[in-house]
Amino acid sequence: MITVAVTGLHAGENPQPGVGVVRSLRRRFADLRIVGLVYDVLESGIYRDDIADVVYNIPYPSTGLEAVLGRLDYIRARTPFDILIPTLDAEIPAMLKLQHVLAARGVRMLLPSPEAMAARQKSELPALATACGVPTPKSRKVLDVPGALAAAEELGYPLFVKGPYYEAYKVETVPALLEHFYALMGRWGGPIILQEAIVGQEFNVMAVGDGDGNAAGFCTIRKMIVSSQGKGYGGIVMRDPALTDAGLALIRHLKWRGPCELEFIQDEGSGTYYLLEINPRFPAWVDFPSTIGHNMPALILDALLDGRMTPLAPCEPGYFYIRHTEDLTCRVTDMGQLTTFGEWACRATVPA
Amino acid sequence: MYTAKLRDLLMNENGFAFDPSTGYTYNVNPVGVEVIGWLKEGCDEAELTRRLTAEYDVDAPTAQRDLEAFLGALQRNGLLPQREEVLV
Repeated sequence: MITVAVTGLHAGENPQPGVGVVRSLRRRFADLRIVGLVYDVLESGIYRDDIADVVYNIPYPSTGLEAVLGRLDYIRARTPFDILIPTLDAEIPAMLKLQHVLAARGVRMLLPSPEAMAARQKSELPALATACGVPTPKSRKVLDVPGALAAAEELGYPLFVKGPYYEAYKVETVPALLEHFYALMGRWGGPIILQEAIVGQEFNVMAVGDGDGNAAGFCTIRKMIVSSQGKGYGGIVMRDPALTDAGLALIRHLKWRGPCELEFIQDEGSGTYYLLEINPRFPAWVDFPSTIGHNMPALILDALLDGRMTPLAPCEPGYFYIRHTEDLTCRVTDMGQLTTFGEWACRATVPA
Repeated sequence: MYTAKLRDLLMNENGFAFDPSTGYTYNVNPVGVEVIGWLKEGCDEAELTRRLTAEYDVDAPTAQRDLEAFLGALQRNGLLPQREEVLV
């Protein structure tokens, strides 16, 4: 029996990757116990009967590493787990700091190097893109209003205003720029990124790097449906050598270890792919390639259990996904259990 | 004509086509399906016009005009190179 702890189990609006990660793992490993780690009792995935065996509340990383570690120690004492797969952006820096402490306790994770994490930050993207020969939209880091106005003047409108970790807004006027600048600064702190707006179709790459510069898993899609928040609610597998080359160049340069999502936009005039972001975790559509024989979460377990991952066969075009939401019927008593005790054995066979 | 992209295009007999390099899908009418088949055989514009007038009840100027419109649509969708890039 392998026990794996997974975070990011909300699959409602703006879904997180955890549910897809678990579904992919269960496709490959029959003898699997899943410990769901949640920040909120309303993370929808825990109420499906095929995701978590047991669920525990955990504190946000911003609470401090000691609090996170203390809670994980408590959980491990109740339900020992061997592997932890963090799936949210904000968790990765904290887990990088905790990985050696957790490894000493027998908990393994597959994370990128701190250097690769630093190089893929939004503010460092232009330098990374130049080093890899991959174009990226012109962008400027700004920390104050005069700096933002000057950068916007230089880049021209429309442009994107982005927080350091999350959120991006397209703005066409100075008032809109300032509104989002203040809001993002208040929520996330600086630097705020102003980025030239490229017009065109959006493409995503999901990959798992082996840490030596190779991609053991690699799937490219074009977003078919984009939500009001810019999320891909439908995507179709495609394979353009130019996009594949760009993605592999980044993974090779960063010697990326573990999962990542590379976001690109293709300029509709020139056909050039521009790198927009590198996310250091699986995307929410992680389970889609698994359904067509390209199971990337399983690679993580292979690497952590056997010390190696066998490269998957190429992800072939011919399939697409569409996100489909369903209403789950849940017992109030289950939510009460988690709210009151911070833990809930969803499956009766698993003690919490 | 340079038809490498067209050769990769996956198309069924009903004219539903999928370009695996972009993920775009298209609906092509029966005449278009036939013209794409002829392009893959290597026909040039003169031969395409000849075949259209031979197979359909259409005169050469009309066939030529419709053909230009169709080839233009293929070019705009990146399935044929723009005219200045055309390798004959």
